[in-house]
This record gives sequence, C-alpha cells and structure tokens, in this order.
Amino acid sequence: MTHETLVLIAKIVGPLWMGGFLLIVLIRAYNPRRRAEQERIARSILPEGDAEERA
Amino acid sequence: MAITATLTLSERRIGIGLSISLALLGLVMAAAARQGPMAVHGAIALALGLGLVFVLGGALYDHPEPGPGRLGRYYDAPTRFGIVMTLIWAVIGMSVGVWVAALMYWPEATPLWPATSFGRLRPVHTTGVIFGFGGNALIATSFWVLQRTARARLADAVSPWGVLIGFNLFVVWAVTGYLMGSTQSKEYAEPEWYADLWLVVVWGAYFVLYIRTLARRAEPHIYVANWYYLSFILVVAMLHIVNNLALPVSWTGAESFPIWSGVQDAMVQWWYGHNAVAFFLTTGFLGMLYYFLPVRAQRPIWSYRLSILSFWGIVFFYMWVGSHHLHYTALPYWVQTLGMTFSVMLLVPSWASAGNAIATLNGAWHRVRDDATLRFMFVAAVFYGLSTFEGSFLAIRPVNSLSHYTDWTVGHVHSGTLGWVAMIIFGAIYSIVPRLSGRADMAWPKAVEWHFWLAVAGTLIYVVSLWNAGITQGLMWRAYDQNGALSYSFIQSVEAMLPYYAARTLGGALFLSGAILCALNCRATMRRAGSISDAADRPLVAQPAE
Repeated sequence: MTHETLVLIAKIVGPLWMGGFLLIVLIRAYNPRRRAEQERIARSILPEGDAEERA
Repeated sequence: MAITATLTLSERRIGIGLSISLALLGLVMAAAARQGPMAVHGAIALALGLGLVFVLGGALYDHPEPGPGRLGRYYDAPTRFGIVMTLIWAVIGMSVGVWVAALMYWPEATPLWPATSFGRLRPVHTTGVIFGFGGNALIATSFWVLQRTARARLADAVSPWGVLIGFNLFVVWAVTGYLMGSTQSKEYAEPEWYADLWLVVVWGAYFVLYIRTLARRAEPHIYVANWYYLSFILVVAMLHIVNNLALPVSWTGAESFPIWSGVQDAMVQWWYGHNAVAFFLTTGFLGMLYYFLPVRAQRPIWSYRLSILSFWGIVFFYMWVGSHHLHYTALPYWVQTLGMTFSVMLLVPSWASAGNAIATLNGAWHRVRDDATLRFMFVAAVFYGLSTFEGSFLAIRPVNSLSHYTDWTVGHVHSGTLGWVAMIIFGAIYSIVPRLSGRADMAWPKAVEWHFWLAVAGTLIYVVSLWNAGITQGLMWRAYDQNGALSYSFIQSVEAMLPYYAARTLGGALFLSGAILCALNCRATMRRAGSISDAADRPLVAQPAE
C-alpha cells in the first residue's frame, strides 16, 4: 500500500468514525424517551426530599 | 477507630500475608541491588512491609471482629486514610514548590548538597502535588462517590488498603529516587522501571475493585461521575504502560532505556504527558465535580444528557491533542496540526462541562455566597473553563510560537492545577471530612473561609504574574534590532523576570498557607470524631452475605 492510499483511507475512515460516534452519542443522550430516566438519575445522588425543584 | 478494628480476623491475616510479601520483595530488591536507589527503595519497602506486619499482627486479637452489620454500611476508613495522605502530600508538594519558586530568583540559596538542587527538587514538587496530592484525593473520593452512587459497600476490605498503601509507596519511591538523582528523564513519568511495574499492579487492583463494586450496585444506572472516574483509572493504566515501556540495563539497578527512540519517543511522551493532564488531572476531577457540586448545592446537575455528551467529547478529543507540545519540532507537520485541531475542538466539551456545573448553581447562588465549600467548587468550575480556553488557545501554532518555553505555560498549568484541580479537591474534602467525623460542619468553619480567600488570592497572584512573565519573555526573545540581531540577551530576559518570580512565590506561599490551614482544620475535625469512621448518610442497600 502506498503512503497516499493510507492517508486517503485515514482521511475517510477517521471523520466517519468520529462523526458516526458523535451521532450515536447524540441520539442516545438526547432521545426524548430517556428524559425521565435521566432526570431520575440526576436526582438519585441527592438525599431524598432534599432536592429543590429547578427554577 | 484503628484500621485493624475495621477488618475481620481473616482479612487481618490476609493483610499480614500481603505485608510479609511486600517485606520479602523489598528484601530481594535491596539484596540484589546492594547499592544505589534500588537498594534504598528495597529497604523502604522492607521497612513498610515489616511495619504493617507489626501494626496488623500486634493488634490481631486486640479488637473484636466487626459484625455482619458492617455489610450494611459504607466502608469509609480507606477514604479517611486517603484524605490524610492527600493533605500530607499537599503540604510536602506545595512547600517544595514554594521553595523551588524562591530559588528561581534566589539561586544562591541552593545548599551545597546535590539532593537539594533545583533539578532534583522540581520533580519532587510535580510528583508530590500531581500524584501525592491529586492521586490520593482521586482514590479517596472515588471510593466515597462509588459507594454512594452505587449504593453498595466496597467489594472487599483488603484491596482498598492495598491500593492506597501501594500507591503511596510508589510516590515515596518516586520522590526519594529524584533526591538521589534517579530519573527516567520523562516529564511526569520520571520514576524508574521497577516503580512503574509496581504501579501497574496497584492500578490493576484499583480497577478490579472499582468494577467489582460497580457490579454489586443497587441502582439500575451508573451515575456519570463513575464514568469519569473509570476513564481516569482505565486510560491512566494505558498511558502509563505504553509510555514507560523500557528495557532495564540490569535487573539489579535502577537505570533503563525506553524502547521508543527519537521523535517517536517524543510523541509517545507527549501523548502520555497531555493525557496525564486529561485523564489524571481532568476526568477524575470532573467525576468529583459531577458528584460533590450537585450534592452540596442540593440541586441535580443542570443537564444530565449534556454531561454524557461532554464525557464522550472529552474522552475522544483529548486522546489526540498531545502533539501540540511538539510544534516546530522534527515531528511531522501534519501530526502537529492534528494535535492543534483537536485541541481547539476540545474547547466545546470542556466548556459544556464548565457551563453545566455553573448552570447547576442557578437558583443556589445564596448558598455559594454563604458556603465557602460550595464556593471552592464554583471557583473550580470557573477556572476549569478559563484554563481549558487558555489551553486550546496556546495549542494554536502561531500562539505557541510566542508562548512555548516561556513561563506562560507554567502559568497556564497552575491556573488548571491551583484554580481548578486543587479547588475541587478542597471542596470535596470539606464536604467529606465533617460527614466522616459525624459532624454537621468542620471544627473551625471560619478557617474554611480563610482558606478560600488565601487560595483565590494565591492563585490569582500566581497566574497573573506568570502571564506577564511569559508574554514578556516571548516578546523579548523575538525582538530584533535594525540589523536583524536579537535586541536582548537571554540573561536580560531572565533579569526581567525577577519581580514576577517574586510575585509567584508570594502567590504560592499564600496557597500553601491555605492548604496548611485545611490540614490543621481536618485534623481538628477528625480528632473530635471519636470512634466514628463510617459516615452515616445516604442509606446503603443491604448486600447478600459473602
């Protein structure tokens, strides 16, 4: 394999890998169906009855 | 409460077995090496192993065994020990830092004893604060956070001690090695090969303990702070192993040669070096921030989903930025550009974390005003945002041409370590220590306020003076006269630094005095605790008997 071919593959695969991963994380983190669960997790570390409502 | 009393009889016996193994290891090292740093380090391990045998063996039958009720409580004695070590290393590391800062403008004060030369003391400062102070704080708080977010007791009672004592032995080996002139000459990876191998064993035990405890969690989810702590544990292992691959000159001496050479060695070193900033000095502390700030502010994190997004952003981007340390070197140009590009992109997830923390405080500003502990965490988030912006900026090639090799870099590092890392550590310590001591507050609440202002003033004086110093140096080094000759000699640029070096020593001294106040305050608080060693707070979900 020539150096140029390797660079071309790297330039194609790299951004696809990064962009694809970002997309997966975005979809998983921002899926509206997960909202209630995330809210529960965020409050799970607070002592019960101690957490204030968000302004 | 004595440590031995928290262990069952069989755990005490396992502890004695491990201590004997450590003593034997030390004996073999000392006997094989006969002289030099490795022999001294063997003797240190031997003394530590024997000391532990006496502590555990001497009290083997003195204390009644803790009952099965212990499994229904968190195991906080290791956290308490870790915090004590954190504070001891803070005082040692920062004192040496202030001393070497003073030597910068007062070099005549260097005693005629090689161990006290600047070159040997400087890594004692960096290792003392990064690994001694920062590392112990990370391990101690990770045990605390892990148990509370998982609602499970640590998976066993012996390995947390192995991790903490083993890690501190590594740091002691490191700093005593430097004093004897022993170093691998890799920045932040100076300890010699046997110390590196030892750390791999300790770190493996830490990772296994963390995973085993997580596996026992009584919560369906893994709270995001644990992701950050785990990335710290996992990636530091990876970095440490790859950068420290070396061939010892002999099995009985400290010297070794890295397997990497030339520009590859430089690249691997700065891949390690900047990821030490990322995964030792950032992700673990973000874990601290994501737990202690919401708990102290009594408000959930502003956006949990943003914390997930910024986690993956930080983990992915940080891995590539190390080559920005090698601008204008023999490293291929495209690798430098890659590091620069990722450094700039890194600003997005970094500011997402800082913004998330600050937005969490919306609605709790009255607490920030009244509670110095929460204010430590707020200032930490602000400095995290500030220093990550500065880091991205300094990584840009033309900016780097001005800043590199100047004290601007040192100022930048201290804006991160004093303003961000140390502030969040102190915030976490002031949150944990009263609870560990069964109290609502520290023994001297006013001292926390004093500490806060000493720390803020010290950081600002330090950072602002070195910004000025660095930019002045950079400009003096690139000033040419009409004939194209340099306008200033190097020594003139050194002389121009004197007022800034005096100011930075003052800033460091203020920060150190705050840390000493913190150590004394923690001592007073823990002394008044009596026999409580496990905090009674968020209930643990009972585990099945082992």
